[in-house]
Amino acid sequence: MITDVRFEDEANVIRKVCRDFCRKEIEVSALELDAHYDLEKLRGILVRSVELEILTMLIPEEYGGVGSSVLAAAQVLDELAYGCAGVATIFAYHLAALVALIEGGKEELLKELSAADSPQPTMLTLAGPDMEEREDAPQLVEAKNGLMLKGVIPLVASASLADRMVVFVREADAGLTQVLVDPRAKGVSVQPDEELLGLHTVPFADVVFDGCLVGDADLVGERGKAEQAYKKARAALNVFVAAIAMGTSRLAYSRAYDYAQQRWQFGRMLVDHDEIRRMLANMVTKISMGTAGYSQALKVDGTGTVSSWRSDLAKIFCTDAALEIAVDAIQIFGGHGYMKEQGLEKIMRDAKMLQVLPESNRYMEVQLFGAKG
Amino acid sequence: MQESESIYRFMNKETDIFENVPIMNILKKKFPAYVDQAVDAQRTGRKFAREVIAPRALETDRRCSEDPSYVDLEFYHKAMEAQIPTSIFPKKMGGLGWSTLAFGLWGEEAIAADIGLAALVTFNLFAFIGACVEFRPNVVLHIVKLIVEEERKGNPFFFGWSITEPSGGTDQEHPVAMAASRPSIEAKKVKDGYLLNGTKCFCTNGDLARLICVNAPVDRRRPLETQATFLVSTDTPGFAATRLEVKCGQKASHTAEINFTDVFVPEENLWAPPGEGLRHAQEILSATRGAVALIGLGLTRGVVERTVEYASQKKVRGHRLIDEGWVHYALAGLMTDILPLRTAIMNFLVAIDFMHVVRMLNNPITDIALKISPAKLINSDLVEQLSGLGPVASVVKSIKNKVVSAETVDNFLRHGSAVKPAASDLAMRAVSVCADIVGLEGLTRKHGIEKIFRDAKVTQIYEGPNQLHRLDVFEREVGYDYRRAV
Ligand SMILES: Cc1cc2nc3c(=O)[nH]c(=O)nc-3n(C[C@H](O)[C@H](O)[C@H](O)COP(=O)(O)OP(=O)(O)OC[C@H]3O[C@@H](n4cnc5c(N)ncnc54)[C@H](O)[C@@H]3O)c2cc1C
Repeated sequence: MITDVRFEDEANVIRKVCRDFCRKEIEVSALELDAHYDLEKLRGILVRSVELEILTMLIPEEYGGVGSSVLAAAQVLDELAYGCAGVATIFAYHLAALVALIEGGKEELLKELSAADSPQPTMLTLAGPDMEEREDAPQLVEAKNGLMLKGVIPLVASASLADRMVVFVREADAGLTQVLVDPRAKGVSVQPDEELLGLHTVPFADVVFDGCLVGDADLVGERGKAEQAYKKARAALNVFVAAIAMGTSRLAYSRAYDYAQQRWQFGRMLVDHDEIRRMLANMVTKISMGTAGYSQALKVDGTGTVSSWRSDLAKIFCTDAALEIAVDAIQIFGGHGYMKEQGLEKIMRDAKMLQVLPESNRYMEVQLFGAKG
Repeated sequence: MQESESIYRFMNKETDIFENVPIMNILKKKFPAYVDQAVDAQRTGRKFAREVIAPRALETDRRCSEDPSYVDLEFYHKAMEAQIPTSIFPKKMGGLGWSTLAFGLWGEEAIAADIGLAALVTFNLFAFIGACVEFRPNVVLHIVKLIVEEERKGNPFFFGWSITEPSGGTDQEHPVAMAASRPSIEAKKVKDGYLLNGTKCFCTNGDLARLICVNAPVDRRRPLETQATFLVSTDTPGFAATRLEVKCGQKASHTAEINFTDVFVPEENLWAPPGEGLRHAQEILSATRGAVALIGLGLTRGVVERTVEYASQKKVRGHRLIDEGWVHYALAGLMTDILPLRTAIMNFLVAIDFMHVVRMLNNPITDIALKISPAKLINSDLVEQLSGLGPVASVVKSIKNKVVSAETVDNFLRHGSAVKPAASDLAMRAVSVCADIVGLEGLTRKHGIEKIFRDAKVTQIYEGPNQLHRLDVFEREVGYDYRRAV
């Protein structure tokens, strides 16, 4: 029986290295970080990840990066999520923001990010665009000294942690624009972190733009022409979230499998009860299919580009599977599964968050078939 | 729970049982006092939930997260003022004389507001049922008197019921499982009583309880044949609550590991003799699995009501969230399950009143005794001692065994084991579906939906895991013997 659902390609060096990093740095702190958000500790993990070049892996080689594909990055996140879905999510938002910057042609910044010799990595995140047609959604306003950003984006991931924020602004008459914002700049205020169900390692907060200046250098690509960059970033984010869901599911599964081999109940080992086997089998099935699904979320044109459609499908399937797997893993543990120290209830809460990130799976399903009417 | 302007039809009504459980209209004709009391309890429950429970639920949950040993005593006192923890005791004994149905309707409202706090003040139910199961009048009188007297003085009286032990919970609830179990606890017969040694786990109120009803075998190697039930006073030397669990949810209610080192239990506190322990547990479970179904139902209602409220206020894409088609289907899918389940559970509660142990209180003999004797006499030590005398006790017990036959218990176990997984699975589905509807913003702490999400999962586990309940139903439907399972 397969006890460890991982990729067969063990030669994949990046994954191996990431796995070690995950063991040493993330797994050990996951429960503590879930119970108490600790910026210092989190920064420590990010600093030590610099050596692995995870944060720069998507930057093309000509700009000094690693030049990996989105799918390779997803596999890395899958490994990290085995330790903690929250930590992996911070990386995911950073990497998705990179995709947007690469598409937007932000050469200098990308070079700067790969060349940085300061031990503190520059963290990125992605915010917007508004999907709910909120009245207070951010707008670019013409002012005396150039463009200004005004409005609110609710619950931006990594908001209080990020050094730069890639903001997508939708304007009724001008289309979608990508703006690079320094969250510490004048006119930007990151509200206090919100307490959410799960992913406690990720600081989520509302970001209020109150006339923050947007110079030419802050525009990524042309104003109103960011549709393509957003599409790519969103597809990447979908694949990343799917991969994280699978990584965290692997942890739930392997814990449940081990426990089922040790626990005696109703006259036999748990693993010898057919109903427990059904649950375990359902877990491996979903993990195998989900992993295959996100690993192949490519367009059929052979260019290696991630397909928006398939990335949506992978995200929906993998995150729905993650919740189901976590809930069953808890059930296999019985009362112990409900206790914090086992770490399984954390996986369940994290999985639920992944289902609604960046949009609810149920709404995504409705959107798959295009606009109504 | 928002007040007024709720678009949820039933939320602003004082009572909805006549609309939602139609059989009540018929029952009212035959038993007006019974139904009136239930309606009144629901009304009180709604008010209490809105005014007392809902406003403090999140704060208590937070404090318990920071310090699992925190007990919201201020809340318990408010509940005591309303006589909730003693509500099911007969009036003459100082309770409110509530029926199971009345208690259940109050509970459903409380749970929909917050299960943690609701559990904190309703768990004495287990004491009452546990004592009733044996129905030695002195035992019932003693327990009831003790709790009522203490709570009248303003001292919360917590009770625990402990069957689960480290080697497993499933094994404690089924004969085939128990026969093959490997328990850690054991009771040794000594002069005038028993000495308990070993550990029990996941005991609700284990660290707070004054009394705990504990199952333990007299011979560890023959757990099924020698399982017995003891009433343990927690101030007995050798007893200790050794660990407090840090849980995902339901934090306002404590769960503890308890340890016994030569804990002496006097003979008169042997509730079920060796060999009868599992039967005692199953008789309690035959009633309480229905109570846990009520928890599942209350949680489902709680999360659905909050979601309807949220979705009717939240503006998206130029309309309210609740105006989108996918939201209708998602919520409708839950509501279509709430309605029949609610009817089934209310049916179960009514059946307990008319057929199960509490019926003893309405049994002619008990009834007459309660009616003719002045309250003072009933609550005096004299009656308690008198009713402990061999002949009186055995007469009452034999009446009880007739009134509540083995078949009755078995049938309740079958129905209880059906409604419990149905309700707890629905609760888990509901919290997930509702989280999908409200999305990230709706999962911030203040909306209370994330708390219900955390609270729900354990309903599939406690009072026995749902897998066991399915087996219990199959066994009784088919007449199957699990010793033949391959
Ligand atoms: C918050 C909380 C409060 C509690 N309060 C109390 C209390 O007050 N008093 C008390 O006595 N107990 C209490 N419990 C314990 C609870 O009743 C047990 O956790 C429950 O019975 C399950 O037992 P277990 O945890 O040992 O799991 P196990 O019995 O070890 O079961 C593990 C898994 O194996 C499965 N399994 C077992 N047998 C089979 C089979 N034949 N086929 C398929 N699957 C099977 C189970 O369904 C479960 O999924 C509480 C538990 C919690 C979490």
